[in-house]
Amino acid sequence: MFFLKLLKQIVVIFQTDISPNQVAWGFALGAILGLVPNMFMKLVLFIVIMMFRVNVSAAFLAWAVYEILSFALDPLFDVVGFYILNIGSLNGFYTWLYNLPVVPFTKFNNTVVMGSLIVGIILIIPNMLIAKKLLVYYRTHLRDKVSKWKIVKILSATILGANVIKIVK
Amino acid sequence: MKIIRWSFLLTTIIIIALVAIFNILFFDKILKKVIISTGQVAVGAKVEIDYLKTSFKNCSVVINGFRAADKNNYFKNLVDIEKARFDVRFAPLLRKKVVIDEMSIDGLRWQTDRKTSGELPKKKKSNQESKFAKMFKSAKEKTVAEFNDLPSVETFNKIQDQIKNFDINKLIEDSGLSSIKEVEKVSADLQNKYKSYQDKVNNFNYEEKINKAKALVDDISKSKFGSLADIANSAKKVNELKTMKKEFDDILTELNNAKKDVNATIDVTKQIKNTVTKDVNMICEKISIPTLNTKNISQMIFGTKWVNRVEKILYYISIIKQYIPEGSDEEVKEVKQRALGRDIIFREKLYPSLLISLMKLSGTTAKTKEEQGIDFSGLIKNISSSPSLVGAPITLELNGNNATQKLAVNGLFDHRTKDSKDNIKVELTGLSGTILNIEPNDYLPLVDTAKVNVAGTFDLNNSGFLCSADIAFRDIKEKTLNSIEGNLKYLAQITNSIKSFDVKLTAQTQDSENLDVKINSDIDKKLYDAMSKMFSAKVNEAKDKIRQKVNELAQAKVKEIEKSLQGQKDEVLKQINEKIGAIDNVEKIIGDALKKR
Repeated sequence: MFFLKLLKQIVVIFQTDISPNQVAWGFALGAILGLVPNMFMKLVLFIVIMMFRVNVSAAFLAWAVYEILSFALDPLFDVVGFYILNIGSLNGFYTWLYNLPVVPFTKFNNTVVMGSLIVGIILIIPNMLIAKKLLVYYRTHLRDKVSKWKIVKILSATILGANVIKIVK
Repeated sequence: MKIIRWSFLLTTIIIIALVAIFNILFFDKILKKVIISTGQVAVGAKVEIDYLKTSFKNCSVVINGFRAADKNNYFKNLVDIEKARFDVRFAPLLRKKVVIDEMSIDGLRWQTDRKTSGELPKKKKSNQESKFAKMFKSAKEKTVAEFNDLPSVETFNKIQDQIKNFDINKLIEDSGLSSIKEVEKVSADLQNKYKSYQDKVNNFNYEEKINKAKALVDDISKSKFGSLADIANSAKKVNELKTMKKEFDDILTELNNAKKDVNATIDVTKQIKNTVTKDVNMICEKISIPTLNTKNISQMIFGTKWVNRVEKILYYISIIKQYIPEGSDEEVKEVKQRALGRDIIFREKLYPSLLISLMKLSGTTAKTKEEQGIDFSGLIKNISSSPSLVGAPITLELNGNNATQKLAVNGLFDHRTKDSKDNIKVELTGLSGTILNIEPNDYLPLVDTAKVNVAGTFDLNNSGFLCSADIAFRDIKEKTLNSIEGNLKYLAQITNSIKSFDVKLTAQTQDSENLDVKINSDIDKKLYDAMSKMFSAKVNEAKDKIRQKVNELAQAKVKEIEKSLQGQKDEVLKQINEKIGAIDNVEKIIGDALKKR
């Protein structure tokens, strides 16, 4: 059921006129959610996503996509994180963070966590721009074609039906 | 475009507010329950808290009326605290660490009375005993058994019985005097002797011999010498008469000897003199002081009490050891390899699970508010669950005094390494003797009235412990002799002569099997000297009485015997004298006849 709902939400993103900016930002932030392995960090990022008016479905989509990708990227994150955490001039800052009450729960001192966070932050803007461009391109050139696909029709009908039921209620 | 999703933000704020309200309403109750249950596990008896209030503003906790019952006496409190207050650092709490910079405890008392029993509902007994508790249990059983087997216990009981039941007549009666038996024996011997003389005199056929001699004398005097044959016949008769005279001489000698013998043997007193002396010595031996091994007295009095006290100290130390484990010698690894990345460890301000940097204590040794005790105050520093992290040992310093009494306690609990060391020094001066709970004893002075000074140390390390105490009893008051009856008054006089004494107690373990307990006190010598002095005087007095009494008894018996023997003796002498007279007469006739011839 969850996957079906997720699929419906994705169809909504693509097939409706939801703001491309909201979707793009949601995707960009959701990407970090997928990249970072630490649950506490994920929770903090999730709250941040929820606080901002970004598309949550896009964020979930990005989370799923980048969660899978992160398995392959872990060695890269490890290298990046190790480099970042060993920058001598930042040692004081890290020590300060390390001794703060809640921050150590984020496991920021782990090379993969730090690497994935940094990569995720670096990728925010590119992700946002790419996502926005792709969405606009899709809606302009591909949406009509895709809307004729049976699966999309079924999902759209289900969504429409659900909306009608909601309105009737 | 509105950037913030207000609905989510509001929902989050509401959830946080609800959690905060729940904590404000129920957190105190939950914390109180946690403290009570944890405390009960630690002390093994009921723990009560009258009031507990927390403040989230400065993370402070105030506890009023904290009482932990004593598991060895459920109607006493091990600890009774009027008020405790401490501020917990918030940041370490988020990392499950309790860090208290300063804690104040006021109105600390111990061994206060409880109205209700502090016993916990029965549970399956835990077998988790500390290493030392296990070791001490077997060693204690062994040592206490040794104390109970001390010869002094038996010896003291003997002395007590002897003093209580001292009665010369009974003592002599129970002894079975050999002098009386000797008198009876001497009497019997004399009777036999007299009888044998009587028999001898009676059986001696002297009359016939006398008549024969007289007839021979008569015959010789009438004889005529007409012929040689008459002369030869007369000479033969003279020779026969001479032979008879010689026989009479022998009989006479025998009778004189018998007479002399009968006259001499009547002095029974002289004969039993040695036996009487033996009797007196034998009875006196029974009332002499039994040999006492010095040290035994104090071991008997203080031994078991000392071992029990050491056990109590070990119990408290084992609680400390349970919650403050020894440090580890393992090095802290700087980099930890993980499947997903590596943890870079920065210089962290590490906290132990529990840290109380400074605890200010104040209290009193009085068990009730009305009682006058020593008001004390002091500090405990660096209480922590990981002393190696804190880098400092736990130290304890308590001082207090009143007009006459003084208290000083210093402690060091160093658990920073595997070779932990615990040391406590206690000095108490001017205490009342009642504090030692020594049961009144006929052999002890009134220790309850003494001023007591105690200096004790306790050292514990991984290989064993050494516990020692020097106790000085001073200004001991005398027992009132009027209220003591009978021979126990002697004991009271002995103990009254002791105005002060010292006791030195040590208990140590060298290995897990043997508990070496040493108790030295000058009370042994003082008691022994006083007892010897008193006893010697009494014994000499008693000896004189015994000698007199035994002599009286022996003399009475002698007189009785002498009276009964005198008649027999007179009769024997009479018979002997008669015989001697008759023989003398015959010898005279024979002598005259022989002269004429």
